[in-house]
Formats: sequence, C-alpha cells, structure tokens
Amino acid sequence: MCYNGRSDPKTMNTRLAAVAFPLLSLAAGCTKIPDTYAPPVQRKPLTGQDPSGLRPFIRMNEPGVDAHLIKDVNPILERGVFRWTQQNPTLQFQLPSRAGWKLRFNFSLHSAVLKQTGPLTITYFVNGRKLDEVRYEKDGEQHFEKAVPADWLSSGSPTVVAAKLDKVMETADHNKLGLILTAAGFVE
Amino acid sequence: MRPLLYMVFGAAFTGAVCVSAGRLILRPSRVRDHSLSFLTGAAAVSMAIFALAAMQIMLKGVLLAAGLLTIAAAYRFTPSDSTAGETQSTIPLWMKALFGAFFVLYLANAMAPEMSPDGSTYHLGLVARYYRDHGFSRITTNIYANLSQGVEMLFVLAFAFGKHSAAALVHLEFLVALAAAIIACGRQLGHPRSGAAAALLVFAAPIVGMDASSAYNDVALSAVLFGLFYLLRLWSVDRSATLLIPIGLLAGFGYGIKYTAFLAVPYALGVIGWQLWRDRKPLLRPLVTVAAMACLMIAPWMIKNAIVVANPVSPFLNSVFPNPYVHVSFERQWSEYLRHYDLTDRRQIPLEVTVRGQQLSGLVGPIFLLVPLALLSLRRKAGRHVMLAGLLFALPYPANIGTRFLIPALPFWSLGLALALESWKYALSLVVLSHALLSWPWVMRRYCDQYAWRLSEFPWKAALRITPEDTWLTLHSQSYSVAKMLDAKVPPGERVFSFDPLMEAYTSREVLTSMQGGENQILRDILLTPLIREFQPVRTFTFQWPLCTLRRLRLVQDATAEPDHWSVTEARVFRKGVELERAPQWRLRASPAPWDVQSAFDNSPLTRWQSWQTLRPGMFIEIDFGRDEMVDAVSLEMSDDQGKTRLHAEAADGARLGDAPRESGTLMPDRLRRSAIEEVKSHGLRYLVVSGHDYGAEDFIRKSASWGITQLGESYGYRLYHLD
Repeated sequence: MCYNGRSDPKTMNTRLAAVAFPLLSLAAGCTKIPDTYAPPVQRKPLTGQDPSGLRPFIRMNEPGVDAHLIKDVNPILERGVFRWTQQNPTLQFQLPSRAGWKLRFNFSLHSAVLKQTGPLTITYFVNGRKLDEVRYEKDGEQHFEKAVPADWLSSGSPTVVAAKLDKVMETADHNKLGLILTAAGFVE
Repeated sequence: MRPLLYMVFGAAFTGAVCVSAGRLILRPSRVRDHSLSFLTGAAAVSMAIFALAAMQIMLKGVLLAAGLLTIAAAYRFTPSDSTAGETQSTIPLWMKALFGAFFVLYLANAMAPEMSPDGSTYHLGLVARYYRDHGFSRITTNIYANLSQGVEMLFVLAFAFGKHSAAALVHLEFLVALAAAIIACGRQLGHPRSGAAAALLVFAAPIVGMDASSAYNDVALSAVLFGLFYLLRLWSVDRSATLLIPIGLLAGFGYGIKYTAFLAVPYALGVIGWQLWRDRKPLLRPLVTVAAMACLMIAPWMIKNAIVVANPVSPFLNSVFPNPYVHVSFERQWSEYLRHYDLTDRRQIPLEVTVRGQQLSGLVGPIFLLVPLALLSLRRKAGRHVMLAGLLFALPYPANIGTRFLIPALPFWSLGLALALESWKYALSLVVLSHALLSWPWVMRRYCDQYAWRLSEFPWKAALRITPEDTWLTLHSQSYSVAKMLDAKVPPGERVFSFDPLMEAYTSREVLTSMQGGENQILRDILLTPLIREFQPVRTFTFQWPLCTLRRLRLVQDATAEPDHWSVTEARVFRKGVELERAPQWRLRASPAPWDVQSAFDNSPLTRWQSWQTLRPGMFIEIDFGRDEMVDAVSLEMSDDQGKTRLHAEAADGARLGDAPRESGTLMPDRLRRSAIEEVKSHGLRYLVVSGHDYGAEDFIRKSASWGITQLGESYGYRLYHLD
C-alpha cells in the first residue's frame, strides 16, 4: 500500500507483478486477426429430394398432415375425419411435376354456418393466383375440382393453395368457423 | 432452510470482506465511516477477484480463504471505533420508520428468487459461467461479457455460497451504503437534515428500490460515485495524502462498474487539481497517485477486452477498433435505440421517468419533477459542489435514456433539492413524506403505467424459501422453464442458438443470442436466408473486359448511402466463360470486415461477406491470384437488400476493368433450409431455440423435415430443436 503519499518501490513491484501475471495468463489465449485469407473449403449443393413429407394430396386424418397446414386450419381433428377451417384456410403441397394437375377441395358446409352467414362465396388461389370463385347456397358435402395451368405450379418447392371465404360464422366464444375440411390437394 | 442460510451467508460474507478491505485501505487516514469502508473495500475486492478469475483459480475454497484472511487482517490491524451512533442521531424517528419500511420491502424482494430481466440473463448469467469455469473464459459471442463487470466480480463471491439471491442482496448492501454516505456527507456539509432527507428521497425512489433489489449495478455505481464525492469533501478539509489512494480507487471503480462513469476520473483529478492549484500547492504527486489508482481499476478491463475481442472499449468504438465480434452496424443501431427507446418525442422523458415508468423501464417518482428547484441550492457553496457533480454524472444520460441511467445523478439532485428546501419550514419534510407515500408500491400502482418496471409485491414466503425457489420461478417466469428445459435436454458442453435472450443464469448451457455478437448475427442471417428473399443472392452483376493478364483484382464500392450495407454472397472469376478454380495460393482481402471475406468465396448461397457498415466509397474485396492469371470477367452474386450499391472492378494499378456491370438473375438451389442447418452446424452448434413470435417460427414447425431438425421439447411457446 502507498500511505502518506509515499510509494515503496518494493511493494509497487509486487503490485505490478500481481496485475501483470493474470493479464499475461489471459494473453495466452489471444489470437491476432489476419489481414488476408486463403479460399475456404468449397460447399457443395445438397442433392436428393427434399424430405419435407409434403404430398400432392392429403386427407385431414392422415399422418403428416400438420406439415401441409399453413394457416386457418384447426389443428384438432374432429370425429377422426375433419378439421374446421377459419376464413382463409391455406395449405401447401409438393408436386413431382408441373403438368396435368387439378386442385381439389373436399369439404362440407354446416347448416348452422350457412344459417348465420347466408350463401358463401369461396375464392380458390394457387400460388397466389386466383383459380376460381364459387358461390355455395346449400349445406352438406361439397367437392371443388379444377385444372391448374402448369406454369402456376412449382415442382422444386411447395405449391401453396388457399380457399378464401367471404364470410364465416362467429360462435358465442368468438371462434370463427368456416368449412368442415376433409381433404385437399392436387389430383391428376 | 439451508438455501436461505447460504444466501444470507453469501451476502453477509461479501459485505464483511468489503468492509474489512476498506478499513485496511482507510486505516492510514482518520476516516472511520462504514459506508466509505464498504465502498472502498468493494473496489479492492472486485479487483482481487478479477485477478483470481484471470488466473483461473476462482474456487469456493480460495474465495473463502481470501475473504477470511481479509476479515482477520482488518480485525487485527484496524481500530474498532465507528461513527454509526453519530449517523443515527441525525435522523428523525419518522424517517427511521420510513427507511425501515422500505428496507424490509427491498429485503424481501432481493431475497426472493432473482428473475430481473438483465440480472437473470447476463449479469448473473456471466457470473454463473465464470464461477463454473473458475475464472474468465474467452467469450466472443456475448457483448455483455465485454462490458466492465466490477460489481459482478463481487456477485461471484456471494454467488459462490448463496447463488442468485445472494448477489441481489450484495447490490442491496450498496443501497444501504449509499444512504449512509448521503447522511454522513450531509452532516459533513453542515446540513444534517438535508442529508437525511436526501438519503430518503433516493432510498424510496421506485427505480432505486427495484434496481437495488435485483442483481443489477446502477445503484452500486451511484453509491461509488457518491462515495467519491464524499471522500473528496473529506480530502478538501485536511488535504490528507492518505485519502488519495481510496479516491483513485473509487474513481476507477466507477468505470469498472459501468463505462458511463468514466467521468469520475477527470472529476476527481479536476477537484483535487483545482484546489491544490488555487492554494499554490504541488500538483503532480497527488494527481499521479489518483490517476495511478484509477488506472489500476480501469486498465485490467481494457486489457482483457483488447486481448479477447480486440477492442479495449468493446462493445463500443468498433469503427476505431475493428473486430469480428461486434459489428459497427449493430453498435450504431443499438446506440440509436438507447438514445430514443420507443419514444416519439424526447419531451416525453420527464413524465415517463417520474410518473409513467413503462417506456423507459421504471420511474424515480413524481416528486423528482421538483428537481429544477434544486438550482436554488446554488446560492450555497455546498449546493454548487453537489449540483456540479449531479450535472457531470448526468452527462452520459442522453446516450441511454432508460430511467435507471439517472440513478448515478439522483443522490446529487436529491441533496441539491434538500439543500434548496431546507430553509423553508416544513417544506422539506412534506416533500420527503409525499415522496415516500407516492413511492410505496400499493400507492404507486394507482398512477403509474401498469407495465412500469417496479416492485409490486411483498414475496416474503419466497424470500424465506417457504415457497421453494424452483416453484416460485416456475410460477413467475416462463423463461425459467425454458432454461430448465435446456439443462434437461441439451448435453453439457453443447452450445444453443436462440433468437431471443434466455435466462442464462439458470442454465449451465452456453446460449448464443442472435443479436449479442458478430458470429450470432451471422448465424441468424444464415437461418433466415431461406425464409427472406431479400437475403438471397438473386442478383448477379458481371464485369466483362478483353482477356488480359492480372495478378490482382479488386471490386470497389463507390456509393455513399444509408441504410444499405454492401454484401457479396459469391464472387467468381472467369476466363472465356469458364470459372477459375479457387486455388490455395489465392489471397483474399476485404475492407471493411476482412475476417468475413471467405464467405464470398465458399460457394454457399447462405453465407456472405458483409461490410456491416453503411455504404461509403472505397469499400472493396480483393483477390490476389498469387501469380499472373488470364481472366476476362468477374461476377458478384448479391442479395436484393442493397439497391444503392454502385460498383466497379479494377486491376492492381487501379485501371478500370470493363464498363458498368451487366445484371442478371440467379437461380436459388433447392434445399436451402437443410443447407442452412449444415452451415449452422459448421459453427459447432447442434441446438436451436425458437419462440412462437420469432420470425419464421411457423416454418420451423411445419417444415422441420425440410430443415432437418427434430423438436426435443416445448415450453411456453419456446421450442427446442436438435439439428440433425
């Protein structure tokens, strides 16, 4: 210690050593940042099919269905067969090729829904492009199917489809209910 | 019961060691003030623990032995008199009652399991890591590890015995020391009533109570700065050279706690220099003594940073000390945020920091709207000294407008206000009583924002561990469960990448948080590139010229623009339409960020060299072929988030190669997601945490097979994935 404003050289040296030693210990791990670099190991593109588990067509009770659901499809399977949708059910599918595919939606309309909403208009989209617009006035089972131009579809990456409802039913607990969806996707 | 005893022991032992070390340092002087002993000793103990950490011998036995030796030495070599009784005599009974009430509130909160935002993430996260590693380890992926951590060194001592809450209690000890120092200083100034009132104004301030009950460091810093002021007052009375050492230690300890306190050193030197110069006394020796002691407290932190992250003041001034660990762009964005938070207008600050408390994380209390009245204290010499210090230590505030960054100046403003109001009968008492009332949590909730950062409960069952720590934390913090999930599912020694900060203090796994380091930002970029088209190298710029021989080729950016950065995902060189193989003798350079240049030559669409700075002319990437090469074209594959970039190609002699580049599109390869995971794995990471609100969270769930990841667990919306 340095008392009364005077320093003892011997104790100062001891103090310096006490500080220098730990700092030198740290310095042992020090690395200098270089200025130039050699080319690194070259990455090679991955080959093989994307193991995404996506299929061209899926039923709502099949294994692996979750990977196909993007938006507004209830994750809970009802009665082992269907899932409720909300206003804009959106799904994705993987197609092995682009040509010769038809979009298909298998669903039912519940009488309670139509009673509250009145006739429903559903607009179908494929990769963001409007494929068709259909008005539904009766409850019960429905099937939508329409051919899709090949250049709308993607084969290397998933194809995204959506069914946009103009209205949905709102329940007492503020849940929104649209279609009773049983299957969707592309068929040849 | 045992955790409670260990916690109390850890905090009490740390306090006792600090007081003992301080008494030894202050022994040659006639200062016998417990608060100054604690603060001066804390500085010395902090640096001693730094040394133990640097030598990798921060073990419980070593800490215990060193602490006991310090206590024994103080008992043996210092007199046992104190001024405690004198201090108490200046405080009216009603004030004692208020001090007691707030102290019990703070004590319960400090003893309750620590879950403060910064305390449970980095303050104690780093403390826990240092203790696990028996000292400093080379941390380059956490900017908070680069900040000075003087108080955290004391936390290590407490943590070794009593874990997290013991550290929070040590911080509370600083608040007690601060209040005692203000009271003592008021007495020394000849205004004991003002001293006591100012101490209570500070002690009861909501942000001070919240901060002091947590493992933070703002109140500790405030105590150290006020201790320095008080010591300088004592020195100015008798000019004892023996006080110069503690003055220097405290001045340097300020920086050792928080960079923003760097002004303490010029302040101490200025006060001493001015008084000696005015009295025509020798200047050099006292100033050198103070500067040397301050340097002793500051230099180790700077040297540690210079060694570990190549920047002595990291995470700041990265453009002056370029390094791969903290990007200039990050520093700029971060600093910009800290200057504004989410405020739309700086005129909102006064009400935010005094009444509302949400936007700037806490409030000092509405009574501090009266602070302008403190200017009336300038009529007195004591008032001028107090207000000068208050002004000086508030200067760094605009750099971070969070309420807690006012804490260092608060004691001075409080003392100034008390001095100003002292001469009006009842005014001071009324102000102090009103402040205490308005600061009581159950009153405060009636006027402040519901989300203001503040104490809101009296968790006595948790404090006494009647409710076990694990149960209490599980109930109160979602992050705690996530931290426990990491401990349960991730093997020891593995690193985890997370987009969000996690409670690192409660997991022994190393977490790389996306924005907390240069490498972390690169990893985030890689993971988001498959999801964000603007990150993908969809644009190719090709420079073409007649076939010629080149030894070196440089691609230069010419524009000045914000906010774009220049980035190059791949640079390819051609001869007659055929790409030249990247030969081992090639040497690649770039400016800025030379360390990332390989990312532009690795054939990966997911990695890119980035300038990490806004566009300015002269940025370049250079290829030295190592021999003469016949070439006639170079192409740059670049992302679509840099529309303002302007480029040219040049030879070694500066001659332009080709005209303006021809632009074309680049097709992205398949399986980008899987490739991204492979890149992340090449950084030594096997685990990923994604919360429900992170960008792309749904994609990681829906396309886990495409990514090649497997979910291992889920807690409160946070999903832990293994990178397969």
